[in-house]
Amino acid sequence: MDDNKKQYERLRLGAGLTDYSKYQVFELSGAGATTELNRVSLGDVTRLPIGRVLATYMLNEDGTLLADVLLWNQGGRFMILAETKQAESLAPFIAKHAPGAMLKDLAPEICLLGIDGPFAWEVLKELVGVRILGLRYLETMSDQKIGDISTDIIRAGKTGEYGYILKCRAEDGAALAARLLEAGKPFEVAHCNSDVLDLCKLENRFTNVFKEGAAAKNVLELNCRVQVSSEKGDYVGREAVENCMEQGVSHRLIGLTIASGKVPAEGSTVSYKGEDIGKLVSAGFSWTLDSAIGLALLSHEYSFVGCDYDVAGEKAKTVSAPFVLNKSIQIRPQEDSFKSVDWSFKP
Amino acid sequence: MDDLLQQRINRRKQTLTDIKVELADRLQLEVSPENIDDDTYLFGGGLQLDSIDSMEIIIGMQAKFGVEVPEGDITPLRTINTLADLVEAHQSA
Repeated sequence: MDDNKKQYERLRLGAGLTDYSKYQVFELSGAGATTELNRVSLGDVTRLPIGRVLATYMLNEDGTLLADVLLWNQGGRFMILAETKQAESLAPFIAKHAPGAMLKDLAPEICLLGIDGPFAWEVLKELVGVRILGLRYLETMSDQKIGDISTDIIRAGKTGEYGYILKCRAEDGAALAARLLEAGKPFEVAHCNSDVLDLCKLENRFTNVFKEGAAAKNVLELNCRVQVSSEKGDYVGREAVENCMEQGVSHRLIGLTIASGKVPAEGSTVSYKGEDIGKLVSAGFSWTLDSAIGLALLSHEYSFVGCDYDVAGEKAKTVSAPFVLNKSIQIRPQEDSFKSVDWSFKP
Repeated sequence: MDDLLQQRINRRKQTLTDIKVELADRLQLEVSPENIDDDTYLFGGGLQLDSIDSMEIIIGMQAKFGVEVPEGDITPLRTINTLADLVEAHQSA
């Protein structure tokens, strides 16, 4: 069996250990940290309670996506976890637009690991106790002792399953990974690579900054209008976003299934009766659906569910995303357990 | 765009608009219907609704569209588009 498929099955049925080392991590502190961070974020940081995390974007002046970020309010300072295609631009961008706060690159000092899957919570329960069951999406637990390793835990992820990001000191990273794998043995935890995570993102239509995120000419093409606050003050990209709100987007992201099962190349033209109506920006083969799936940025008047189009000569149908029904939705941590649930992987 | 596709899209647009208006009104959402994207998640990082809201959605779908969400089936309760799928399936049945 394909190694990626094995990893995918472990994540979708049990739990997968993932590496967040590609994330950029910063601390923003100082008296003006909240105001300054608000100026470089699409979401409203001023409404973020201490101990909570905001999932939002940072934008370029022209309204395109700079980074997909998690912002953790640690009380007077914020931790910024960022995924960006423009890696070298991010720190100078924050420093330029948030001059009233102190920016520190935390990446050399810390290690970030992820554990995702319908039983990720059960693996962590073995290590930090039942409190993990009460941790809700975008909540955090600080200074949890896993062995003697001080670990911060964020409930977040991009697989659609229970997901947790674990942060420790860089020198403890290998030991923390070993402990997670040891505790995860009864749950058949496996390492999962970035290709597997990208497929899970696609299946749930979570933004991939390297694909649809890079292709969109305005962040609103990614279907994120609910993130835009009319009450927050000025922020980088605001003018472009508000113009787009007023005039409407030219293209919108929509899901596609490809009938033949063949995965067309990303960047392929999407057409209707010979007319070019957009581009396929992300594509993969979903083992859960046993089908080729993709996301396309289509001209706004064509970007609706239930339409038959062509992608590189293949028949495609627009569908609602998320594409899959994640197993985690069917799990009740108070009642279920990896050992008692009988799931065979059905492609 | 030919007439057939235009009709199909117009029907979908109307269903989506009706759902957004119903939810915004019933749940007293801070966001206006025109600022809700079709693929917006109802729970989690989207509209950030909760389990009480999900009961209101089920009641609203019955009242507005005569559609029953099958007991235990959470598939339709994920985004505006998945609710529209349910309504269209009911209308074409």
